[in-house]
Amino acid sequence: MRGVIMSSTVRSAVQLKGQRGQALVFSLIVLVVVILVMLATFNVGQQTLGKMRLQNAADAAVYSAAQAQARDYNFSAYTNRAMVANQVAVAQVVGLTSWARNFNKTYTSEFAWVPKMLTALGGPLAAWMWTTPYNINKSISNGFQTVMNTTGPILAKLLDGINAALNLAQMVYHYGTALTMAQTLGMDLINSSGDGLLNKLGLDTSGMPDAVQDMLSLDPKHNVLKMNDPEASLTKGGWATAAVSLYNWLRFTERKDPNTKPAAGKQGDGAEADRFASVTINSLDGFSRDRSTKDGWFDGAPEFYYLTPNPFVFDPTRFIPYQNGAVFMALWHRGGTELKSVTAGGSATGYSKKTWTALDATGFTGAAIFWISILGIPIPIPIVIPTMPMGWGSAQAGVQISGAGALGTNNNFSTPAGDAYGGAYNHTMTTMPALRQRPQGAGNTLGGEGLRPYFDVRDLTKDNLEGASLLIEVERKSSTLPNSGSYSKGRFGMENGQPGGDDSMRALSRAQVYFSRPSKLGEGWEREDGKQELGNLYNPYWQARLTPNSFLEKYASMMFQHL
Amino acid sequence: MSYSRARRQAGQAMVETMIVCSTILVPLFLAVPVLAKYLDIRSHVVQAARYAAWERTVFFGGDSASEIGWFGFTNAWIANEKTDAQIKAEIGSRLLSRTSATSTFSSSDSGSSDFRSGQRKALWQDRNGQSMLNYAQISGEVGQKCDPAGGMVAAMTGYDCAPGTINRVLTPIASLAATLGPFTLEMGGKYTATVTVSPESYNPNTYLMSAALARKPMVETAIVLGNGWTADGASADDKTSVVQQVKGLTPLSLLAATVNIPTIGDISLLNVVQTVFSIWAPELSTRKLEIGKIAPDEVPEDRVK
Repeated sequence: MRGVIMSSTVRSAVQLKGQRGQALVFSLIVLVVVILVMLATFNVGQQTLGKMRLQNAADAAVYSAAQAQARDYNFSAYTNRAMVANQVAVAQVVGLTSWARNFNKTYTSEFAWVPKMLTALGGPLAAWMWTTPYNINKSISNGFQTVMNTTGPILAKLLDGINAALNLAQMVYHYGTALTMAQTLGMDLINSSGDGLLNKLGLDTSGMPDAVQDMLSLDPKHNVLKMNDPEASLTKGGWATAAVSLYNWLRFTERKDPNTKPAAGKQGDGAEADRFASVTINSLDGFSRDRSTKDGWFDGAPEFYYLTPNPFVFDPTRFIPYQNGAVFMALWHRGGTELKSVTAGGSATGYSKKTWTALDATGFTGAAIFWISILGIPIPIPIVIPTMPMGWGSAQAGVQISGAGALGTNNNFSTPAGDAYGGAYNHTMTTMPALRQRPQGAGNTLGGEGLRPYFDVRDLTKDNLEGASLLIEVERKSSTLPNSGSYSKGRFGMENGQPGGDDSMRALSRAQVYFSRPSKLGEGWEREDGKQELGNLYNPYWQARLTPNSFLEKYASMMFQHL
Repeated sequence: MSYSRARRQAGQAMVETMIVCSTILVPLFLAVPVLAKYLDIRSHVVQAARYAAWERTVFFGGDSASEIGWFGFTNAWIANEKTDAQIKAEIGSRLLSRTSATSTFSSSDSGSSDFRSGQRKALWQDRNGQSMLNYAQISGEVGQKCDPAGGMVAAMTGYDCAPGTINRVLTPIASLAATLGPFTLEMGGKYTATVTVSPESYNPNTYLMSAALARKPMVETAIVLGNGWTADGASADDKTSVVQQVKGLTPLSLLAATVNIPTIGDISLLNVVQTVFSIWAPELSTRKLEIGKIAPDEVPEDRVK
């Protein structure tokens, strides 16, 4: 028993001799492991945070650049719509001028004596219903004509000037947006932080003159990537994909000329260069299309004579024997505004839709009874004037068209010959006055230059609901992230990065603009015809969104990491 | 070595171990998960900043929109609105609360004043169950500093507005149009989100959260361009719609603008004049003569299907 105890005590003593310092060794090993775990936790955590921030920076930059694209497309749409509306307004100014001239002519033309003569035959109604309103209208019409003759040219030139400005603003902003995208993404060729493309390609740019360096570098304060992550920059591959994206973006839209038939193989503004003009014509109001009384007083009102308080006589008492005078006297009016093509020489042909011309015509019809007595029997002698010209007027704005061609029934864009100028040539009451105006032409132009080039989606055969994709790859040195290296040196030093010396941390991101006019948003959004609208620069419904990266993009990004 | 010395050394090793353990190993060991938890909080702050900034790509109306125009005739983009406090509440409720796969987010999150159901994230507490982050320790803001109406030159030459040199060219043009009519452009839209989270400090003596706040609050920022100038529908007159925007670029349409006359209400003087004249000339009625007409549905035939 004792021996057993002794022997075990001896063994313990022997063991203890070998175990000397073992606690220290154990503690040191555990300490090293715990410290390494701690440092690794810190470093991995910082790397993760850095990667998240880098991805966020890439997403923010590429989205902001796509947002700039959306702004450009929407700005084009606002200005296009405004240019259409201003063309519609020019048509109204031309129409009002023509209308006012016709109005005044109705009371001052060389045929004005005819209704005067009829009223002179007698009858109190004729005096009240014709002569009084006639004199009132005559003085009003003079005022109208003076106002329109004065303001018409001013307004036409003002509207045209605004369209010229909108046109220029649209183009400048579009190409300026290409620069905005480069600035947003930081597509520097060289820059002060040394992460421009040429720097990355290994070129020594320090020898370049300062002026050249300035030219090749972009203001970093526009750089959304660096705003979010000051160490981030585009990779070489990312620079290339951004450049391709930019090229595709520039190719997605084009400046279309509504005045030139597109060359073979080009789409231009449609095969007949008629898209902008169609939109403009379809946007016209009723006054420009048809200036008769139709739909005037109420929806569905018929086309009819001008009624009181205009000069208008209907007096059945003249059928009473020996009551001389006008039974019926009335005016009938038609007119309209048309968009015409004009060549440089002023003849009305070709594709150059640069002139609005307007024509108004007013016809008169009247009947009177003159009673005579033969053997005490009253015999009525009717005096009937089925139709005769009474007023006419015309005006034009845009490139001057001289002579009768300005008012021809042809060359009126989409209007059929019979309907030209609200059908003024095509109604018994207005044909004659219209034909009196026609050989005189449409007078001197009020000014302006007609339709102008504008931006729209290039390929008209596609839906274009999605714009060009914008793809970038960004990187930052993981060695620039907070690292335990500043506290732990030597054996505890932990370097970030990958074996092989490339310590860049990368992120991919992709965004695009898309067109969306969803009918489900209800009133104010839905098209009246219930159809789906495709991508276009007539309406500002472009938005930006991030899109997923394709497998190929991710694969390529991993594949070419060491380039 | 004597028996007694060996015996003494056995105790010494134990004491050594205990000292090393209590002063270095245990604190370090306990600190590792705390460090990881801090890092987890930080990663949520990074995403919270992203969340806040990107909210402004949808909710950029109200106070978060910049004004444009001269002489007090200013316009601002009308759009969905959300206050900083609402966005903060959403961040607290959606990102920084205990959530599960069955949590449903709703618009009422923006009105919350505490973590979702009052529940803090289970991970963010010390081994004693004390939370590392209180709701009151979350703060932040997300807005823009661009102000073309207040100082156009500063807006043009500074960097507070939107990225892109071209905006310097457009700002005066847009300001003029905004002064004359309802046309407006968000010339800014560079939204900067700053989220500050101040978790509690770690007490290395007790290995627990201390009552004091951490020495350095966690601050994360995110910057993104919001408002792509997309119209809000075709024709609504109380929104930034196509018609409202184009009116500002179409002077004749401004002639038909309505004015507010007491006891009568909103009325367009031009339309009154037209209606009077239409008694003589029906073609001048507002049914036919629509001065400055804008037809927002008209597009080329190839653009509908």
